[in-house]
Amino acid sequence: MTEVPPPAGGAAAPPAGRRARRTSSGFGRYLLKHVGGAAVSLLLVLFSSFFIFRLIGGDPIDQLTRERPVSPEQRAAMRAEMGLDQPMVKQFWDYITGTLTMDLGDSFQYRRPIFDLIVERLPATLLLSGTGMVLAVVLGLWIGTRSGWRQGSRYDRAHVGTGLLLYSAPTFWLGMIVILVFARYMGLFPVNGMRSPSTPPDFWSQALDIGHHLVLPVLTYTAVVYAGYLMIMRSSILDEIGSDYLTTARAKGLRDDEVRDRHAVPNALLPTVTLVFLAIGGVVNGSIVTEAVFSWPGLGSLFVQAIFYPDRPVLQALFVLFSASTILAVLAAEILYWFIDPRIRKS
Amino acid sequence: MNPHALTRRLLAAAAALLMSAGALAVAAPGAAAQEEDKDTLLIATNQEVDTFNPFKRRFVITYETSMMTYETLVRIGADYEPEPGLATEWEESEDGLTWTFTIRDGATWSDGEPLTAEDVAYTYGLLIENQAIHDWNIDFAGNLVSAEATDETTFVLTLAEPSPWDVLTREVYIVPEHVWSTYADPSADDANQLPLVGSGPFQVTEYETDEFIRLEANESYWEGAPGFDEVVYDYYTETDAAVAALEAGEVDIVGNGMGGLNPAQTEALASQDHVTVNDVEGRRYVSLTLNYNSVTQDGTEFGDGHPALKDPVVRQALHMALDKQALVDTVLDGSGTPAVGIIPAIFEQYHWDGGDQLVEFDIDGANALLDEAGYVRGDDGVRTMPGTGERLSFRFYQHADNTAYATIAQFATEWWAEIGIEVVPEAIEQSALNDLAYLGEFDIAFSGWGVGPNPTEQLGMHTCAVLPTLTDGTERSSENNYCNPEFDALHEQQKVESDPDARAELVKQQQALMYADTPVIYLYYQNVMEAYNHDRITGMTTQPSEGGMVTGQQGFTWSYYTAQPAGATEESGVPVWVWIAVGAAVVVVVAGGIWFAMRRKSTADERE
Amino acid sequence: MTASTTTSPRALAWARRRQSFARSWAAYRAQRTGMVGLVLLGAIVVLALAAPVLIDESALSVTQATGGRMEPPSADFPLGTDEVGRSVLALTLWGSRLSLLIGLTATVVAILIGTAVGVTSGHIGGAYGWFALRISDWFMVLPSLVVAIALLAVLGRSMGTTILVIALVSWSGTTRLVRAQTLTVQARPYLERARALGAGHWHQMTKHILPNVLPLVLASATLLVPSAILMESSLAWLGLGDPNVVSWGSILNRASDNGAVSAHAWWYLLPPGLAILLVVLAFMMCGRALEAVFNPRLRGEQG
Repeated sequence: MTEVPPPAGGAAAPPAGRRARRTSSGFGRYLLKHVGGAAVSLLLVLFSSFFIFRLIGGDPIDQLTRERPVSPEQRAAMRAEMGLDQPMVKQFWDYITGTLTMDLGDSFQYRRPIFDLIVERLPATLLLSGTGMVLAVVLGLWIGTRSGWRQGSRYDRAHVGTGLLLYSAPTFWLGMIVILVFARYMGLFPVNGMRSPSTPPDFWSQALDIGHHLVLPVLTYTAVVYAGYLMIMRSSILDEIGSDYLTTARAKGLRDDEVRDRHAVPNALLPTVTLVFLAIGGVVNGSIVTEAVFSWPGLGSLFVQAIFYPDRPVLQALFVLFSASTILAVLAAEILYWFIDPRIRKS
Repeated sequence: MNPHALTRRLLAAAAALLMSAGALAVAAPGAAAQEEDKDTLLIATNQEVDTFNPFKRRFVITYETSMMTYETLVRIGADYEPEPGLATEWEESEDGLTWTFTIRDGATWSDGEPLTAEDVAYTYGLLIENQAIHDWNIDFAGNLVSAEATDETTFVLTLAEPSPWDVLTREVYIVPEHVWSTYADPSADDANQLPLVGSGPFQVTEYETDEFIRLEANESYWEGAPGFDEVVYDYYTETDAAVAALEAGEVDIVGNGMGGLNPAQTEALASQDHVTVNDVEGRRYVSLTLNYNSVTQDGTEFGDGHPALKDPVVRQALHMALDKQALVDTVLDGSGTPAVGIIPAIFEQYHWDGGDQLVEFDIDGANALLDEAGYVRGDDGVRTMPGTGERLSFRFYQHADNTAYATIAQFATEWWAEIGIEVVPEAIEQSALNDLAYLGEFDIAFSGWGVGPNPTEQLGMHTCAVLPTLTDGTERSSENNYCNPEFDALHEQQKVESDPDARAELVKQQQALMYADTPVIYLYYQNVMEAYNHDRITGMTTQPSEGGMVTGQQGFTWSYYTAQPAGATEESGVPVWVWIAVGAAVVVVVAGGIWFAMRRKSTADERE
Repeated sequence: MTASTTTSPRALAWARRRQSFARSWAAYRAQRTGMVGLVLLGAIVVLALAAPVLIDESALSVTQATGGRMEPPSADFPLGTDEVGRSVLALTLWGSRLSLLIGLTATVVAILIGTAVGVTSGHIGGAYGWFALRISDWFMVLPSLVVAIALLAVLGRSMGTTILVIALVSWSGTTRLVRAQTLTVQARPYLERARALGAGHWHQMTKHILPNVLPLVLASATLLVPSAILMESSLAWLGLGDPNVVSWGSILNRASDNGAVSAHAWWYLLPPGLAILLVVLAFMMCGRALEAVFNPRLRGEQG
């Protein structure tokens, strides 16, 4: 659950959309307010990112020249080349203007534009956490619906139990155990990484190879995260279960599963939509730990690597990217809520 | 709008979006693609490329690629002795200022152009005239006066001061003038244009960040074409993954490029029939730096080191209370050697073994030393300084990302507690630790360096000349502000001593001096732990040639050059069962889809 | 709501609180999972507290370690040994103390910050309220693990910074909860009465608002502890913890750094991980049961 899943507690944390205060009149004001809020949050992130990582201290030159003696002249030459001799104000200005124009500067460790690094690694992250999230949502909603519908049944208890158990496992540990069992003892899957170098270069072999590598990380990610969706969907169904319209539907002679799928589920899905959108925001940064366990070449491992280097420009850029993706996802969820939840509009 | 329909549509859209993103990733450019009939030497690495420019590269990985792509006039032999490279012979003038090299006849660049003394003169000329390259290599370039080719095969180098070992061991990679003179700025990264043109056994032809670096064999290499057609460095972020790949036959060599293996990994690999595990002496030492002398060149003290460390007795006692053999046994699982001086045992000629000065592990002896010097134990068991009464409690900084250091710190803490010295270990980020160390704001800190074949480099970090002039910790040339005029005198002597044996003797004397002063406690020399697939490779020359290492060689890549393919074919990446499983999954999904669609249809019919 | 003339208001208030506590406890007891969780949790806490009695601290000493390097379980070492030859059982048992301590302290700090900001922003409102809300919203939308990693890298690694960082990324949820509850309580008539009688902000907040939000805060705290413990272990495993202390996360960090996975040393990996899992599960069970107590709609659903 360290992978930013939705809260399994359910009712304790209301979906973000609900916090929208219901005093605004009209979509325009509602939109303006939330867009404004998100913009302020983004600005705060942009500013704090520059200053936070400057506190790490250390001379990046030490890292570049690790375990090789360097003269002060060499140091000065390298500092000049990396723009570290510029005054702070100039560096800040370059950072702000650069970030806004997608020019994120060069990585200390890779000596390449960070933008390129991100573009290279983003697909790997999207593949892992995207697949994992879709699976988790589908699995969670599917089981959650049935669990809630048959509350207290053996099915319900078994699934809630399993879900909570997996939800309680630390992601990194589950990953290591999965590697130990499926990769090392049984040898069914690669230990980690995204592709094997010996795979032929044609598309299908590559795709299959990546798929083969993808199984264990996705399994781990999904296992830890799906219980959150299960719980939300389950309690959402429980909310609907006593409603009059369901009784009416039954009275019309519909089969039990038809009542569930056609009437209860659509209403119960409502609260989960925001959740799903929040999760989409989390897709970009949601798999840091999973990526670290499986050495998956995505943004998460780039971030962790950059922390240990420390590669300040990369940290700055990723911090902004990660935060922006969740801020924008929350904003999207809030806007959506206007259309989905009539209660907001009424007030 | 109907909120339910919208909900469902949005969910579907989100899913579709993510799936297509996934497909995009899958379709991304493939990894190190190989052709069937090529013999490829696959080496695991995790280090990014800083630059392929041989004048500016600082990383280990680009050190290796430079070493393969280009060549030096004099190369470092398999036993760390200078031997002919591009120069077949050389001569030092009487005053040591003029060096005349005879350039090898018949050496060619990988693009077919002949390599002449002009190229050599051009290369050394860059060190002298190109400001950025000059600054970058100032420690060597600052001593160069002129470089000229007197004819096709003769190159003359003039120095400001004699410095025979620098000239012989300094890795100046000769670059092709006909290519480099077309670069607007040879100091910039433009000088990275692939494929690189060099005269070494392999040239870098292709590089994908975090994917692979490909080097193709130079078939016209003057010493004969290498055994393999190409060398490919493949990227693995985790050593465990590289180990698994070696087990599966997907990579041939795992070693220095991955930062070495750990004991558990070598143990796992040792049980594999096709893998040779190489656990041999390395070039790296791990040490404890003691903050006893934070002064600038003009004698201004800075930092806040514990005053008791200024007393050689305390430093000696700290040294005596460390069981280096135990550290080697537990932390390294025996894969190392207890250290004495700064030069590791692998450099036989320069390594000093301590003689009768050798400090042995002796808790009682250390206690006796401290008792004699008047450090009395307080009620809490911690000694205090005579006079001021200050407690012997030291801050002990370790690199936070190194679990081996944490274990050593724990050992040291327990041993030192037995001699009445309290240490408080604290894990600090590497960069922050460096800041504190150079500011003199620590008592004891971990350090460690990889030592090269020329001992001047390491010894030079301990001379008075490199003491800082400022107290702000920005000049980071002195390893520990060690300053001993006697040591400096020996250092100047060894730098210009042309006779190898006489020089080695001087270097040993330097180490003995430093050992007695104990500014640094050398803990151990770490072994190199590496492994390779002997079903695929044979005949690699190690460095040193007897029981030496395969990865992490210096001065010339003997191992990769001499490696011969052993014939075994490698396995394909994806096992057959995966294809079957995928097929089965597709069938299930399709069947399920059809069933679902039918069911939908039937309920729809009912509704009508 | 009728005030008795024979008892003081204070005693009355206490009596009422006791009553409501008894009611809640009865409701809690009726939930089997909640009770199982509570018993499990109790057992773990007892083990952690009793660690020094059960296994001497010298078992953690590296110079006195008697086992070999990563030995599989044996009679001497029921759960095998680590890379320096110490008993994994001893490490896991001792590790529980720090993991629990960090989890609990971080939660307490988070709850304190969260409640203080929540109550004051809800009660005082105005520019301060708006500002506090914005800040807590900001922390709410930031990805918590990313922020925690970044802050730890900046602040340095120690137990104190780990606690602080975990608290910093988890206080905002409590703030929102408390603020909402404060606004609800605020609107109740008796608070208006109290205001009319001249009660100051402090009095209103501590005597009327706090007692009303506290049960909810405690219920949510039980769900914060497990996430704090998980976060601590993840951070420590990533190598951002203090390597000089023994917590479950740091044990696993050492295990993976020393190649326990390559060496198939399952005995080194399983115990600390299972311990984390059990503690988290126990807290979750308790937390869900508590939630059901305060949110009757969910009551009894966990049979």
